[in-house]
Amino acid sequence: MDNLNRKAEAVGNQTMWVWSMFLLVIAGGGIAIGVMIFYGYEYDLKAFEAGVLSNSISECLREGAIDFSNEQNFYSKCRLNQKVLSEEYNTTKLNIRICKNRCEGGEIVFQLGSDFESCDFIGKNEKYQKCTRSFSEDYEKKRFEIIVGSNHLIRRSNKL
Amino acid sequence: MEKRGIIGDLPDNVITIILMVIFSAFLFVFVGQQKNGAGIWEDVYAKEIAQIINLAEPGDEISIDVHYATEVAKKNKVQDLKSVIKFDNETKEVVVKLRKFGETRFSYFNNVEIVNSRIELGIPTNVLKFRIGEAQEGEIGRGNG
Repeated sequence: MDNLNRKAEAVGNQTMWVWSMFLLVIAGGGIAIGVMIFYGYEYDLKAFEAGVLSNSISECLREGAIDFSNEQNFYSKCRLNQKVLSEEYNTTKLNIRICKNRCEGGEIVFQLGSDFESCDFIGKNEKYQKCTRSFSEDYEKKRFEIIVGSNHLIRRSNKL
Repeated sequence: MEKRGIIGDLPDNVITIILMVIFSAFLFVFVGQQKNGAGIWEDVYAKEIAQIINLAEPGDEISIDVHYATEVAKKNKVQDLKSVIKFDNETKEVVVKLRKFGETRFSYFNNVEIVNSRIELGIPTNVLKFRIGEAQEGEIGRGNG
């Protein structure tokens, strides 16, 4: 009987030991996941970048005539790097749409990229692009609407 | 007679405490490394510098205090503090390296050339200096269109 009690005590001790280790792993794992979520978040400058690009386009519209039928003329006059914007080098995700008067029902004179639907999903998901809409006049006082969306992400490598 | 070895002779609560200490040490090191935040700081510096370049004009001289970036790099045992921030004029990218293994790149769309970039250490803080130049022939941009 005494032997049986000792065996039961040993089994109980082992069970409690496993339980305390389990709690430790759960608590530690929770802290580790929390820290990873907090510090692993990407620094979000998408809206700012879209604003900078939009301002840059407005400024060059005001400065002089742009031949929108010639894509290279637009990039050249606005001092924008075509290879970066057209994702030739990496995965830059910038969308540009320029319309005469308004984009709703107006003529699209220039477009880069096609994802403008996600501009309406404000605050739904952090991974969606951030957009700016602005109106600008060119040197002849013609009115344009400029929509710029940015989902530009970093490129990270772990090599030496 | 049963032979249990060194660990087997220790009481259960001592083993539990040893394991707890080892586990806590791992957790502290992990949290410390994350808090040191090389990844997030690479992200911040790459994006902020890219936006400065996007807003710049050819001829601009730019100086940026990168003291904190060099501190993070030093904590992560990066040897060459003068090359923690570089520019790739070919792909138009800011390259930030604040850890021993790996780097972060972020591109700028302004069609300019980054000229004479260097990090000057200890004047009195560490400062990144560079000049914005016209894009070279063959590149598409406002300066040469």
